[in-house]
Amino acid sequence: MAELLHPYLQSPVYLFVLGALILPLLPKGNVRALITIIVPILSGFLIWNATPGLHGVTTLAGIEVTLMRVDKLSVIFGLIFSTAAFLAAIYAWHVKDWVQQIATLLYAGTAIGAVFAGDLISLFVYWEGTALASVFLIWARRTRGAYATGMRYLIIQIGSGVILIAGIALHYRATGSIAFDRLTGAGPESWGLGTWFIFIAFGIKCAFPLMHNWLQDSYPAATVTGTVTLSAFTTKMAVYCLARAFPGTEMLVYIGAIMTLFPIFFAEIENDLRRVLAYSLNNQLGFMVVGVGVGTELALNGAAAHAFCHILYKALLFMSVGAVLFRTGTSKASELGGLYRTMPLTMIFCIVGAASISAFPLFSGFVSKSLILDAAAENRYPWVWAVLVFASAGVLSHSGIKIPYFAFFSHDSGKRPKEAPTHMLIAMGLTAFACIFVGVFPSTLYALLPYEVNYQPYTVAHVLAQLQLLVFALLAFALLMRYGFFPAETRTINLDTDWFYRRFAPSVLGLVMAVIRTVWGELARGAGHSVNAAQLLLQRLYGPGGRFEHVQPTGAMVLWLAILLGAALAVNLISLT
Amino acid sequence: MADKSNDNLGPIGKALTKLEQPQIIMKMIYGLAGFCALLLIADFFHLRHGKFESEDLIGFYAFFGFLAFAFIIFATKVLKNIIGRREDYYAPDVIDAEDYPEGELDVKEHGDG
Repeated sequence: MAELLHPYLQSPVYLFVLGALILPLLPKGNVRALITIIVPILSGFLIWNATPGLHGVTTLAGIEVTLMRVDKLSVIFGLIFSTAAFLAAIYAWHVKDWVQQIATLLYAGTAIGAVFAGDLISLFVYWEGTALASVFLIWARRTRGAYATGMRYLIIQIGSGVILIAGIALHYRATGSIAFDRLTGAGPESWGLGTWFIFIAFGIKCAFPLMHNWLQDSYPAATVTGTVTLSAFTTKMAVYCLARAFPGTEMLVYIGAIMTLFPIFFAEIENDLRRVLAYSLNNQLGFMVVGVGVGTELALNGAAAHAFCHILYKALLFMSVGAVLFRTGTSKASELGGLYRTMPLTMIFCIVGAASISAFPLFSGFVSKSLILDAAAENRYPWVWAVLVFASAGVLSHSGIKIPYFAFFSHDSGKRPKEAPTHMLIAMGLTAFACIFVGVFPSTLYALLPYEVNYQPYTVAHVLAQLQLLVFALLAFALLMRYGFFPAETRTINLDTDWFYRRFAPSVLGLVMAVIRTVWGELARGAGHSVNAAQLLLQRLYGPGGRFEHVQPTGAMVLWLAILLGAALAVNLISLT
Repeated sequence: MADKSNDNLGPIGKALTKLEQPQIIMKMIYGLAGFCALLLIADFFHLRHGKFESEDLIGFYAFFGFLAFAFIIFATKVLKNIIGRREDYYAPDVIDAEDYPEGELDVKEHGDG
């Protein structure tokens, strides 16, 4: 038994599965919450102490799978995923809903499993696992809207898994390998169909442009605590997969650049602050995708570092807006404002998150984003570089200013909510501390990166350039606000590409259905005539005064049987000859 | 629920409400503008040697930041007219038009136990 289980005990996934199995057996209350906190700590400990190399190699249905590949790239993602699960668990200390607790454990566990998977088959299993576990964090809201949103989310997530397994099958047939490594050494013109499928599957979960809207649709629909958890895993797992399988794919540079750009505008007009953060998440993913696309050591370090910092400050921002929602019942900018009076600590933590995502010096975003920008500049992508600088100003506009300003300042909404509960403040405090710590001591983060780092973020030129960009953008904000040019928040939603499948496709389908219904109706009417005619004929033969009126039913039966037997005999005879 | 009183606030809240006067806000904007000026002047004393020539221009990042922000704000005003819809546009299969379930929350006023 021990021999059989040994490979599975190499990967920290078993801790999460075990936690999820034990949890419902424990008494309701703090003991269960304690499990959700302890499991990620143990997982982090296991990952920190894992020796580099391949572990947990076993054979499943004749295929050799590797459950635990330990190298610097997988370790940094494993560590930050464990940290995120730990912080989210503290934040969710009050949650008594065991469905959410189990879903969170399994979701974090499968995401960690995916980054340590050494082959495509186990990757696929974990890939689908994240989809199945995470949807319960949306359904846990238990409203009609959340149920429908969860279904849309699940269809797209499972769809990505179906494309992935199709890609793996084609890739296996073409190459005979299921190794989860760099899948391609050359540009897309040399890719097989399988490689394309795998790329698209990764792209869906990474929220590539036009495949992105599941993210903005679903994340704001999850519970207060569920959104914090959701923000950490799925998309960064996809970034990891791209960094593992497609580093240096030039197409990603341009895809990433578009990703940094368009969500800025959508985020700026969005009213629900949690959806603003979802758009902002998309924009941050763009920076990482550019890093993967450039593919040099500096750029891949940048992508990993940015994923690390981003998980922390994005969780912090979702936590602070979540705390506002928890206390006021809304996260809509149009309904909020002036909350600094009674939620000052939440406001301070929110500003730390905002400063980190905006990449102010001494905050975490500054030391990670600059790796990617410098890598793009070094590799002579002037336009992409310019887009990234523009997007950096855009980040300030929607995440740096809009989130804290409309929630805590702006006009006085008259709301005087109580400060966030203690456990939420502890979670936010720890996360805020981590954001500042990484910003002040970047070498601690750089030591974890996949390649050796020879980079100094705090040069006079760099600090000055970044401060100019941000402070002048702040000045623009102050002036636009002072002179009434800044648009007010209204209770509206945005159309996005999901309009095509939520409105356009159903209306086209409705039209097609109407056509089919009409044609079918006409056909049925025609068929109805034939049925009527047949009925009339039978009535004329068998009915009163009909030719067979006097024949006994048994007699007619025998007659038909004789005819049938004769026919069978004839067929037999013909086939014999 | 909407009592707009500023009584019984904590120390941070109380200190910040004092700043909410038009003349103090104007002073803060002047302060920000002054800081911007300092940053711009610093460019004369520290020549950047960026990866691109344009980066080395005096005040490149300053103008970029200011103009980018202004562009984003004006562009979104236009965009909102095109793609903005009422909250219940996709109702009822969407969360925007429904309230967050009360049972999941702990809505409390400042000063509540």
